Amino acid sequence: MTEIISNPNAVTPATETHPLLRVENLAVHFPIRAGPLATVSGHVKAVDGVSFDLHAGETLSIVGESGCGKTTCAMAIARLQTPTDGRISFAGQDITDLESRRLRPVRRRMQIVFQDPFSSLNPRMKVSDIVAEPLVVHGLAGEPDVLRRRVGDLLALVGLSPEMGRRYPHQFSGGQRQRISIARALALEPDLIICDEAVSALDVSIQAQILNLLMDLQQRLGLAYLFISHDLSVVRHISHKVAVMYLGRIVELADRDALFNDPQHPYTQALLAAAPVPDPDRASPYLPLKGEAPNARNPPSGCPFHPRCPHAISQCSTDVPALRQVGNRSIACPVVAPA
Amino acid sequence: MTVSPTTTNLVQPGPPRAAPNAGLAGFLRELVRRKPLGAIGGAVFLIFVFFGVFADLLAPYGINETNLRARLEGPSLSHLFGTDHIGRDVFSRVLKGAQVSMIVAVVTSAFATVVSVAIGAIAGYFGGRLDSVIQRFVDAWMTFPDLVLLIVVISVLGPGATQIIVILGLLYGIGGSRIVRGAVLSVRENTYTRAAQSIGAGWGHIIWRHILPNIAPVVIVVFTTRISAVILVEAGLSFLGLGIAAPAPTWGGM
Ligand SMILES: Nc1ncnc2c1ncn2[C@@H]1O[C@H](COP(=O)(O)OP(=O)(O)OP(=O)(O)O)[C@@H](O)[C@H]1O
Ligand SMILES: [Mg+2]
Repeated sequence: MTEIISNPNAVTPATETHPLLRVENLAVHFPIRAGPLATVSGHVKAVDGVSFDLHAGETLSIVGESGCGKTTCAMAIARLQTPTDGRISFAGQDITDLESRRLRPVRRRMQIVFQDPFSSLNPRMKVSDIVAEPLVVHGLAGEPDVLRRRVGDLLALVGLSPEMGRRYPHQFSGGQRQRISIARALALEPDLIICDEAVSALDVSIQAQILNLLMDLQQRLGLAYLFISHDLSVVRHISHKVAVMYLGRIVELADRDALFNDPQHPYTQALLAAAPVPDPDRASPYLPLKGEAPNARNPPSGCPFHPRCPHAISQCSTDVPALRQVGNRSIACPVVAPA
Repeated sequence: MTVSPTTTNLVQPGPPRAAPNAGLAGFLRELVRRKPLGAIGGAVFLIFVFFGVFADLLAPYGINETNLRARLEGPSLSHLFGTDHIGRDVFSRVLKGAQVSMIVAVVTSAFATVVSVAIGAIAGYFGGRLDSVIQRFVDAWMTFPDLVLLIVVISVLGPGATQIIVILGLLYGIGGSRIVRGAVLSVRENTYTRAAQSIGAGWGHIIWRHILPNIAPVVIVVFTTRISAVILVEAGLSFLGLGIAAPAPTWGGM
């Protein structure tokens, strides 16, 4: 545990002009191929113009329905998916087009925990080798003895016993595998961890334990998290800021309390209304969502949310609303936040 | 050179299976009970390997030892398989021939497998334009008829084991790269490959540590099927006088 703290570059001095992560107009479009010649017949706009800043030591959550582009967004930021458009800067450096050799130091400081715990661990590698791999790849492994102790510490940190390192991934449950992924992500003591549904597969008690661990590490090391989740209570627990995504776009981005206590965008309101409330007497005052989530292959014109929106006006079906700073939040809605 | 078009399902993720019955004896009993045909095949194979490996000890006569008084004799107790036109003991030569065929087959298949893995892994892992270029090259290569290519090269360079190993190794290796490539494509889709990229691992590391261990079953099949194919082709070539040079015994040449 003690070695975890000794990271010289754990805290990046972040100023207003230098957020740890800056995403500007990020877009990822997948071509749709059809027909015998596999000609491109259109595009899935999985991510379509996403912008946000994430500062060191901060947690920004991205919430939204399944298929709205959260994972794709994370992949593009981690440079595992080539963006169609937009810029990504990390610690003041533009990494959008960085070639892989120059990307290595960035990768050392930015780790990712993947959504699917069953395919994110190599079935032919022992768990201790999986957790040690980032250190080995970056030439930080050191003496075998030191490395073994280090791996044991990392496993203990996520609530697994160091002896479990001798086993193979198939001998673990989904939740345990996810914790192995988290241990792997912590190995390099990064500045940013992208958590794609990192705790969704865990049961409630382990979930709480991991969330507290993540928050504890954040306090001690100044870690930043880009936290992707569909679980609003988890998001509320861990986030400083929350971005709500709908069909590849951010529709509302605000501080946690502002967003949860006073949601402004009709989609945010609907999303919160759909979440179960502990006290039925305090049931949400907002209208629940109607209709189906639209197909990303064939999104509605104008504001993508307008067919399901209770407040839609005629302008909504023609103009795509831009994300605009209004008061304490950014919001993309001409009705709630007129230009 | 047949290449199966669908190779994506060849790779099964999962743990290496443990033998249900520990120990060699238990394993053999289990094998005979559950796969009797396989057990018979295995026994025949092991007998051949045994005779091949110990050919020099088991052969009753020297392989080039001639006895002109006993030419073209039928099988007898002193010459189990009889003798050939210059009085050499055919049984001894069959034993030694098995050895030569086996060595050529194993070395050629090993070389072919290395070629297949190198080409298949690079094409499959990098994909894109590099893959297209490599695939068109493989297509072009595979349009040459094997035997014609072999005959042409050997008539230029002369017969010999090295020529056979190199040419057959390239022929089978380049063709077999398709199978390896297919397996790599399916393994590459797993998130752990991306995870390795995300921690900053280079392509050599990823192919070596993540891709190859997971396509090992396919590589083993590629290797073993090549062995039998090479034995047949080598026998055919030697029969045509284009294989292993003359006095050395091979099954095809006798
Ligand atoms: N490789 C791909 N090719 C084509 N379309 C893709 C590809 N990957 C994702 N998509 C599409 O992009 C959209 C966004 O997918 P993404 O995986 O980012 O969603 P998500 O928000 O992570 O969903 P979930 O909550 O279910 O994980 C979906 O419509 C999906 O079908
Ligand atoms: Mg996802």
